[in-house]
Parts: sequence; C-alpha cells; structure tokens
Amino acid sequence: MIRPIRRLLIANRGEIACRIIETARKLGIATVAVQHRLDHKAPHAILADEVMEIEGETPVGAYLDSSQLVRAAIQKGCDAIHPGYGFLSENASFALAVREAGLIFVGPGAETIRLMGDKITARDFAVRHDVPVSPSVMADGDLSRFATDASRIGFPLLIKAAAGGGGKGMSIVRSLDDLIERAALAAGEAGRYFGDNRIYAERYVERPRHIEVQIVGDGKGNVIHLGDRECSIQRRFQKIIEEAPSVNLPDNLRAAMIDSALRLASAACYENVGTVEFIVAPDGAYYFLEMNTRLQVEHRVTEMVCGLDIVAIQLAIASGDGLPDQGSIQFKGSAIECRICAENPDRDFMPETGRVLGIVHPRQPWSIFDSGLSEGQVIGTNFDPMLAKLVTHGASRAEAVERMTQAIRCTTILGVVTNLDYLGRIIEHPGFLAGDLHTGFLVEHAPSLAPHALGAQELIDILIAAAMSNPGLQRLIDDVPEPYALAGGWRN
Amino acid sequence: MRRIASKLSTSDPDFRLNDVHYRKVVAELKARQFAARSERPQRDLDRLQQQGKMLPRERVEMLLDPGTPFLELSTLAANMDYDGESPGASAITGIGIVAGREVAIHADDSSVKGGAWYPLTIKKIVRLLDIAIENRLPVVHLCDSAGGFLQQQSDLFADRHMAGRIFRNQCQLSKMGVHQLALVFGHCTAGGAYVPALSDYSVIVRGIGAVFLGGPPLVKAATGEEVGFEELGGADMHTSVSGTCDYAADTEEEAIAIGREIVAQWRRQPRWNCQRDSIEAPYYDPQELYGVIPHNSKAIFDMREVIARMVDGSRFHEYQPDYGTALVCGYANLWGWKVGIVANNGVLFSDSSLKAAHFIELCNQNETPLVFLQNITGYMVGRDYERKGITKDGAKMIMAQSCSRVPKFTVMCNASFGAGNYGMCGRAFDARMLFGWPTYQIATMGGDQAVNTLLEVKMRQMRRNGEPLDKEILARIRDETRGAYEHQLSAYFATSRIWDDGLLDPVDTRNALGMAITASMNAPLGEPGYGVFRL
Amino acid sequence: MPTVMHMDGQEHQLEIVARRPELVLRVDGALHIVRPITRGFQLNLIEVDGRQVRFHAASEGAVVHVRCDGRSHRVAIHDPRDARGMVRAAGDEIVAEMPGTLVAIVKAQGEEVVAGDVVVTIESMKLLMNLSAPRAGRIARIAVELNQTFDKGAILVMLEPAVET
Repeated sequence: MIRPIRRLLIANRGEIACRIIETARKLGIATVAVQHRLDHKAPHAILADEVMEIEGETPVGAYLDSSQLVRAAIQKGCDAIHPGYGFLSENASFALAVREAGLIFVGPGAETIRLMGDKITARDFAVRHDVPVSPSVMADGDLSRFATDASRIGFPLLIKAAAGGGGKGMSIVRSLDDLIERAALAAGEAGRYFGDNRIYAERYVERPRHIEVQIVGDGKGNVIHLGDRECSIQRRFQKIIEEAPSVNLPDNLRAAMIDSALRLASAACYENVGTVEFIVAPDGAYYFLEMNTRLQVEHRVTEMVCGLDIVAIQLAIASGDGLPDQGSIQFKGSAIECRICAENPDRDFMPETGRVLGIVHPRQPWSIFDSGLSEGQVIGTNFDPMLAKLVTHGASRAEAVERMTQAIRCTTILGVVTNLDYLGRIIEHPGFLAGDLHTGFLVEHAPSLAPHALGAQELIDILIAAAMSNPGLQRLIDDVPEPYALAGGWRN
Repeated sequence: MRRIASKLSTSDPDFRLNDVHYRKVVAELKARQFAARSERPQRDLDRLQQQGKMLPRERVEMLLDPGTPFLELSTLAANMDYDGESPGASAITGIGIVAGREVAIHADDSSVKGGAWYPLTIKKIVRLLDIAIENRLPVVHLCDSAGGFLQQQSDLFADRHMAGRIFRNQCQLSKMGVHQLALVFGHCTAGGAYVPALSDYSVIVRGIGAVFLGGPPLVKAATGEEVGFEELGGADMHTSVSGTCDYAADTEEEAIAIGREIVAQWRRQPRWNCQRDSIEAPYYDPQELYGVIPHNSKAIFDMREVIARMVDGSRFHEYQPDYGTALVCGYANLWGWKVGIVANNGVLFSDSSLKAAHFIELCNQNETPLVFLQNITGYMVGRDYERKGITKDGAKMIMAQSCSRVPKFTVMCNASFGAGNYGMCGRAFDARMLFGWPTYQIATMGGDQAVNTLLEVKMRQMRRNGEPLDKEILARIRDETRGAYEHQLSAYFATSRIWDDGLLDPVDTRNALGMAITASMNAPLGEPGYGVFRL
Repeated sequence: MPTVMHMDGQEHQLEIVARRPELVLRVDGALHIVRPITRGFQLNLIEVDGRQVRFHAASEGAVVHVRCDGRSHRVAIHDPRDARGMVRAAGDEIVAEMPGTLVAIVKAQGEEVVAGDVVVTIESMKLLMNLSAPRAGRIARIAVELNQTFDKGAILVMLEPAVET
C-alpha cells in the first residue's frame, strides 16, 4: 500500500535535521521542525517550512518528549515523523505511539527496534540465524557467579550494558581481580544511563576493527545492502572518523559479513535502513556487535560511494515503495567522514562550550559539510558535542584522504574549541594512511597525534595575526592621525 | 620649491670640529634631562613603591598611545633654582596622543616632595594651560600633588599668573568647549582640589586618590571633627555621594584605561584649512646640524644650512634672496605643513627689517604659520643707521610680527640679544611654542658689551666712594661680573625660569616644530589686523 | 606599557612601535614589520617581515580565535590601555541594585549562560529591567521566586563557581 508522505515532522535538531530537510525538499515534501527555545534561530528551524516550539524541563527533555512530538505532528498536519538519529530514533514506544496516532514512523517497526535495542535479545537472535557472536556471559544479579562464568571465556573481557550504546557502561577487564569491581561499576552506570542495570561480558578482541554493513529492508523479508563502512577510529568507544569501504578488507571476509548482515535483517523482516555492526579480529574472525535500527551519523560515506540518497530511500520505504535493485547499485571510489566535535582532544576530550563566531567550510564538489551551526549560536553542554561532519570522496582511498586533508585545512569554526586539528593530525598520520586501523588506534598513537610545538616563526605569525584581529589593538593602530602616525614613538 | 644646495662639506675640518664640540653639548643636555627625569632620592622612590604607586612618567607613558610621539615641555624647568630640589619643576607637561587625539598633559611629579607645587611648578602648569587655550588642546591632568610648597607661598599664591591662574585657565578652556580630564592618583588638597572639580571628567583611584578642600589634619584643627581620608574625600564618597568625581577605579591602570576611553569619546576637532602636502624627510641629514653650528658662539653661520636640515626635502622657496640679506625669509614645508621661515643671517638693518615686515604680512595674507629661527645680536646701531630710521623700521617689523594672526613658532638657535629678540618673536610675543638649543644665549645685550658697561658703572661708583682701584682689583671685578652675567646668559638659566618651552637637541627641532605646528591647527585663525605702522 | 597576550599558557608581549610608513610591532622583544593586505571574515592576509600569513580570525571580548596553517589557536589579549580588558573579575551573583519584583525567569537553574545573557527580568519603579549574567557559567540557583519582591542588595541569581581553566 502506498501512503505518500506530504508533510514530515523531523523529531530532531542539528545537522541531521538539516540533512533530512534537504532531501525532503528535493522530494517536494513539506517539513516541520521542532525547536526548543535554546535552539532559537538554529539552522534546522530556519530551513524547515514550519517550526513548532517544544518545551521541556531540560532542552534534551523536550526532544525526548514523545507525546509532545506526536501532538505537534498532528497539530501541524504531518503524515510522518522522521526521528533522525539519537533522541527517540531507537525508542520502540515512540515508534508505536507514532503509528498508533495514525502517522508514518520513518524507521522499522517497534518490535524490531525492541528486538535489536536489547543487546541480549539481539545476540540471541543473531546466534539463532548463524551470525557469529563472540563468546559471552550474562550477569543475572549474582556478580560473583557472573565473574566465575565470565573468566571461563578467558581474559581480556569486555563488559557492556545490555541496553547500552555509545560506550556508556563499557570497560575492558584483564584479570579476575578487576572483574567484580568493574562489573559493579558498569551495572551502576548502566542503571543510571539506561534505567536497566543488566550487563554482560564478552571476549574482548585485541586490536579489533569496527566494521558495519548498511542494509535496507522492505519489511517483507527482502533486503539489500549498500556496502560496508569502517568505523575503527574511535575515542572513548565513540566513532570520530568513518570510511567506506573498509580498508584492506579481504573480499571473502567482506562477502561473509554482508551475507551475515543480510541474513539477520531478512530474518527480522527488517523495514527501512539499518546497520549491522561487527567486530573484526586481526585473524579475520568477526562477531556480531549490534544492529542500529536507524539512520547512522556516518550514512554520508555510503551515499558518496554508491551515489544514493539514503534519506530518500528511507522516505520511499516508509511510504510503501519497494527497494532499489541490488544489481543496480555500483560502488565507486572511497569516502571518509570526520566528526567535528566541541571538545578538546588535548585535555582528554573534555566538552567545550562557547559562541560560534564564524564558520568557513570547503565548497568543492567532492566534499560535504553537514552542520546545524549558525554564527552567533551558543554551544553549551545541553546537547551532543558533535557540531558538524566533514565528508570527502575520492576515486581511491588515497585521494579521499588527500581531499580530507585539504578540506580540514579549508574548514574553520571559530569561537569554540573543536577537535578539527586533531582530526587533521589523524588523517595525516602514517598509520592511518597505511590503513592499519583498530579501535585502539588513537590511544596507541596518542604521543604522535599530540600537536607539535609551534616554531618561533609560527608563534610570531599567530600572535601578530591575533593582534591584528583584536578590535582594541586595531583601533589603537588606526586611530592615530597623520602626521603623528609618521613620527613613531619620538621623544625629545 | 628647490632643494637648498648646502655649501658645507662634512669632511671639512671646521665642520668636524663643530660636530665634536656639539655632540658634547648635546651629551650634557641629555645627561641633565636624564637627571631631571629620573634621578630621585631613594627614599622618595621607596615611598612611592610603598604606596603602591606608579612613577609619574610611567603613568604618562601608559596614558599615551603606544608608538606615538610625545613632545615634553620644559624638562629642565627649575634646574638652576631651589638648589636643584625641584627637578623639572616637579611636574611633567607636554603634548601627546591619547586615543588618537592630541592632548596637553599635565602630571604632578609625586617623586619630588610629594608633588608639592613650587612657584616654577605653577608657572609650568599655567604655561601648559596657556598652550592648551591658544591651541584649543584638550587637557589630561594626572593629579598627585601635596599642594602648594608652603615655604615658598609668597611666590606662588597671590599674583596674576600664580596658582589661581591654573584654575582660571581651566575655566577658560571649559568656556571655549575644550575638554579636560583629571585622573586623581593622590591627594588633591585645597586649591589642588579644583583641578578635578573644574575638569569636565574625573577618575579617582580607590585607596590612594582623595579630593578635599581641607585634609583631615586641617579639619581637626578647624572644627575638631575627626575624619579619615577615604570618608572625607575618597573615591567612593566622591563618585557615589558628592558627585565631585565621575568614575572610581580600583587601580591606577584602570583609571588610565577609563581615562583613555573617555578621551576616545571626544569629538575630533577640525583643523583650520592650512595647506598640507605629503611629508618628506629632509634631504640633508639633521644630524649634520652638529657640524653646522660653530663651536665659537660668536662665529656667524648661514641659517640656510640649518633650514636645509629641518624642512621637508630640504626644499626652500626664498623670498627676496638679494634684498636685506642679513635676514633669510621664505617658504618651506615642515611635516607637510606650509610654513614661512624668518631666520637671522646677521644683525638686523633697515632693509632686512622691512623685508621681514613685508614677508610676515604675506604669510598672514596666505594663512601660513611662521617659524622664527633666532641668531640675533640686535638691530644695527650708529648715527647713519638712526638717520635712515633703523628704529622705526625695526618697529614696523615688531608691529607686523606682534599683530600676526597666524601661529608663530620660535627657535633660539644661538644669540637672542636686545630688541632683536622682540622683532624675532621672543617670549613676550606669544609664540605658540618657543624652543631653544642648549648653546643659546639670551639677554638685553651680548656678554662683552654688558660686562664692559657694568664695569664702567662699577668703576664710577668706586671712584665716587674713594675706593682704591688697581689693575688687580679691576680684573677681579671684571671676572666676577662676567661670571655672574654669563651664568644668566645661558640656555640652562633661561629654561630654568621657563623663558622657553624647553631645550632641544637641534636634531629634534624638526619633530618638535612638527608637533607644535600640527597642534596649533586646532585653533581657528584670528581676524587680520594691524596697528599703526610708522612709515 | 606593552599589550600582554596569552596563548597555550604562555605570556607574550606586544608593542606598537611605529605605524607609518610601515607598521612595526615588537613581539617578545623582536621587531616585525607588518603589512595588512586584506581583511575580511573569509580570509585575512597579512605580511609579516615579507612573509604572507593567511588566517581566519574572530574576536570575542579579550579572546581572539585564530585558525592559521591548519591549526586553531586561542589568544587572550589584554591591553592595559583598554578599559574593556580591565573589567573586574566578574562575580558569581546577580545582585539587585534597587528594590523590585521578579517578573520573569529567562534562564532556568542548570542552564548554561554566556556573559551578557539575560537571566531574569525585574520590575522596579514601573520599569522592566533585564539582568544579565556577569560571566559565562551555569545557573546554580534563582534565589527569588517569580513575582516575589526583594530589597536593594538582594542576591537574585547565583552562578555555579567558575572552574579554573
């Protein structure tokens, strides 16, 4: 059944809201943005055809208030809600509430979200469908038995929250001594963040790579894939650089992983776009990690290599259209994405705040700059520190990397400390160029990724550049009229 | 205008001799200036440090825009008075650039006897305010003075140009719409309290600044009331209760910063439309002036050689080059400003006096400021000259010069004797600025004439009294008389009494005049008009 | 009296030595000839001792953000001659300068503010007045309830203590 989408509410903010509006506009779909007053005049609200003010005790609370968002959609006459990523995008009750209100939820069914949202059920599902998972053990409340069982798998172990994501509640344990203590901490953290203190331990793969497969399903068991992505460059278990395709990945391994992903999605009768994440060990073994039932931050790299608009695919499927033909999908070249975050890599990635005073970004056809930033915007700690994404494409990985180097040089966000320079140093690092990636890359290379000390001449140039940009000093220079300006500091 | 062709050779032995001699003269000048500016008894420096105060010169430097010129005036005032106890007459005055605007600056020198005002301090401040009035320059007062120096009160209080004149001038400035700002860094007691009170704006520093008519000791003596400095006239009281001061600052630095922001609000004054070209450095190096000025002060020298080392591109349009040649007149540019120069190349005769009067009138017609370069021993005397009317021709020159409406500037280059001083715009003739070179001499007549005249008088007196007169006694009296006279003749004596606005290293003359001329453009030209010329 | 600059925890000194015919700056004791070539947000171009330096910069208060040669820098500039640089260390509170009534709370407890952000609105003498944050930080507490009256000197808003950075 075709249910065309004419008016779409975007239950999100920032760059992803802008990104969705961009496609909706191309498809002739009217857009309604929601904004908290702290987002006043944010680009997503300006770009959208209409804006709905949402309220909440905290700004994040407003974007998490599902009934308010559904009300807003109905009030504005929308026929669909796109959740973006984060916030309510993987919230089964929200998906259900949207559908119960008679609206289209741009994403999979609530059941699928629930299935994949729980790490334990997701793992079990994967095991049932011959998708490899790493050996693991679940904690059932008795932490000492958990420790005994877990140590049987062999160290090192990775402790994770069952309901978790984004690295919260995760820790690596290398000895029995640490295990109980860390498990208790992890359970506590999981409880605080996710309201669910269940944890489990799995074999920790040393020097693992994080590789994921983008799949698309029609909800009837038909699935296709849009290739794989490498997301091994992470800090604090969070991705900051992603690329497509994965680097130096043997063809048979890629084929096996894609096959696993398709099998899993098909078995779940997956609808809409999703991502199956794997951990790849240095020996070529791979394990199912989790499935994300939403649009990914890094979807841009896939779009660039296969020339498709993933948001358009989402909207098409949501309105009842079929899948693209797998055979027609061609993969061309290589793409890289860098996440620009308001954080200080030199100070343990501490979040930074400030007012955005200026934004400059590259405008070459091979680059994309996705941001929800505007000049004058205040960056607080209310929202995710990711400010923007920079994506480049090249005929080869080397070209994409070279273009990313250029793109970073052409990009400037003034007023807030960002990780932009750090991203530049990673991109130019020989280990990165060689494709020798694993999720511990940033820790392993921390010394060589630290900024080099400024040379004397560089220092002078920067100080003078700063002085010449300071209005007070500039006035001090300019305000002295002829002929006094010519006399310099003469004294008699 | 054509470039002056110098006739001097820098390799000429005389030039070398002059150069060596004058460099010593300048070294002495600089040493004296350094002492007046910086040498203070340790206890005074310690006291300032104890009070957490900046040195007055540090305040001035911080007030000024960095990398801009400051023309300090009368640095050596009082250097031969009060047994040298009041270096620089205990005040710093000058013209500088603050927030891009030229201002006159008066700073009390609290490193000398708590900044107490000596008679010459008052003369120096009054002179600065006169300059401010004549040139319409806003004034910044940096106040930190213990008040009038009581031991000298009879010489600083009652007369027309004494302490009251400071406040009278402040009022006149205000009436003319010229801004004043006072930054109060110390106590402003009694009369001194009116400096901030009569300023348009005032900033006072908490803890160290205070303004009151009578300080706590005087209040106690007068009424028995016991009150502390802060309560009686401190920063917070005056800025929040009495309204006597406008802004309170926590530190001297903050006071200066606020002051600079205040000055930045003042409208830039339009200059009168004097002709100005782009600035060009002199073709001949001003350093060569050292070789131009003869080591023998009685030797004549060609003022064109001086002009060539002072004006833009060393270019000079000489007026009447073949008439009255003892006086050089002509046009030149200085810091781009068109000026008319009147310079002595010898004693003044009738023809040179008439030439001067005519040229001065031309400059007035042409709205061209005048620069007088003095090296004058006087108007020519003698029967033939009187018969030709030297006195009435000199009177014409004085009349033309005196009634000029264009700004006048005078440099005492060497001799300034007798009526020549008048004709060439001496101190009494209201030059906007009058500078001297360290070797200049000034008196009613030259040294030899004066000593002989004085000796003549003395001998007549002694003969009348029947005192013995032999060669030895005569020689002794001659030496005493000469010593006393030459002491009074010297530039250091003159500048001590503020008969000029300061001594200049000749090399600095160009910039000093440049600043003085630029500053003078703030005041509108007066109406043209002269008295009766004796024809 | 040089201008003091801070970058990466180091102090540097800068003085204007001359303006014409060329701008001469003394940085940490050494002289440099500076020629501004183009100014604008997109790209600034200056010449330092004949070397071309391209950079982006934006200034906010005493801080200049500079991006030059692929690196971002934060330079704090304190000119002792500039009163804006002399602003006293901003306090942790907004204090009522006159009695009045709190009529609006613009920034709630826990919210981030930057210096100058309006936090509350008060009514006093029939006038509505916006009171702004004295510095950047997070609102610790709004000390007066809505529509409650207060006296002169009352603390209306408290910011969380500043963290030394």
